[in-house]
Amino acid sequence: MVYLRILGWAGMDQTLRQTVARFGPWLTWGLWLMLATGILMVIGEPVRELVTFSFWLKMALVAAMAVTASLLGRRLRREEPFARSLKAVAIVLFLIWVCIIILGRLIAYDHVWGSWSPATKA
Amino acid sequence: METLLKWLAATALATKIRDSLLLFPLLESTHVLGLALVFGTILVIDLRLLGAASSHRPFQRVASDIFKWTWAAFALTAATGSLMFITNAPVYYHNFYFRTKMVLLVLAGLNMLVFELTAGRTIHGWGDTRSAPAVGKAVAVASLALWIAIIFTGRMIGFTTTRAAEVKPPPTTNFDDFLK
Repeated sequence: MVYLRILGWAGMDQTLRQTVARFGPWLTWGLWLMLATGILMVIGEPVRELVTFSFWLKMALVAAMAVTASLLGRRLRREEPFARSLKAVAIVLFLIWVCIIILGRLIAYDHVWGSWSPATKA
Repeated sequence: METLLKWLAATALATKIRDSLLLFPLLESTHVLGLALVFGTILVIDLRLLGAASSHRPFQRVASDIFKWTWAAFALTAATGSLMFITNAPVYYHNFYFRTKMVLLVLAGLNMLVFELTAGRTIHGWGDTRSAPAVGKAVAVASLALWIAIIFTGRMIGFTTTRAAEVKPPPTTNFDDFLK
């Protein structure tokens, strides 16, 4: 919703600051929930997850994106109007989230990485 | 019916997806992305009906803003879901969770119809107030329960159909080949 608002594709009757205020807490809580359930899944089947290339690439991206999102959120709360380059940032960040979702699914199919995957060596 | 299901699974498209290393996982990922958008946007609407969030914005504005994304995402999810279905149609068709999920999807559709025929008709009376009338709230609660159940049964389809075990891709085609 935040990215769509930045691009001007939704929520144009609200300011960007209002949009961030509306969805920000949900994003934070959603991330914590996914972290908690994700940790439970890793504990449940550690070998399956920890030896995959997709898993570690995904974790690195998630960590980077969580930091980016909180910095961006802080900035968006502070200033308005915004530079046009913000739209490009929104598109790139959205695409990275798409990659994260795909990587998450690929944890179960890690053989696609061939020799990059520790699983295929084991 | 059996013949139709077998024919579906034997089509060139279904075979291509089955034999591909990446197509099925990519379909699954796109399906996940679509369902996250479907559920997320429906959640915004339902919480607005309940008066739990966005309550200062008129309902019509929230709805017109968001429903186009819900439908676009639903189309994406339905398309990727259908493609996954045809790869192993006879198995999915008889799967308990698949059938339950389809019934729940129909119920979710009927739930929307109920809304249109009741609270949807008086929208001009309550659209600007904090929350919807009782029937609107009931529809919102039913909608949340149905969609959570749909996601749960959907995930269970993957756990109860053993496609991954059946199809082992050839070990020679993987990311290394792209780098050569």
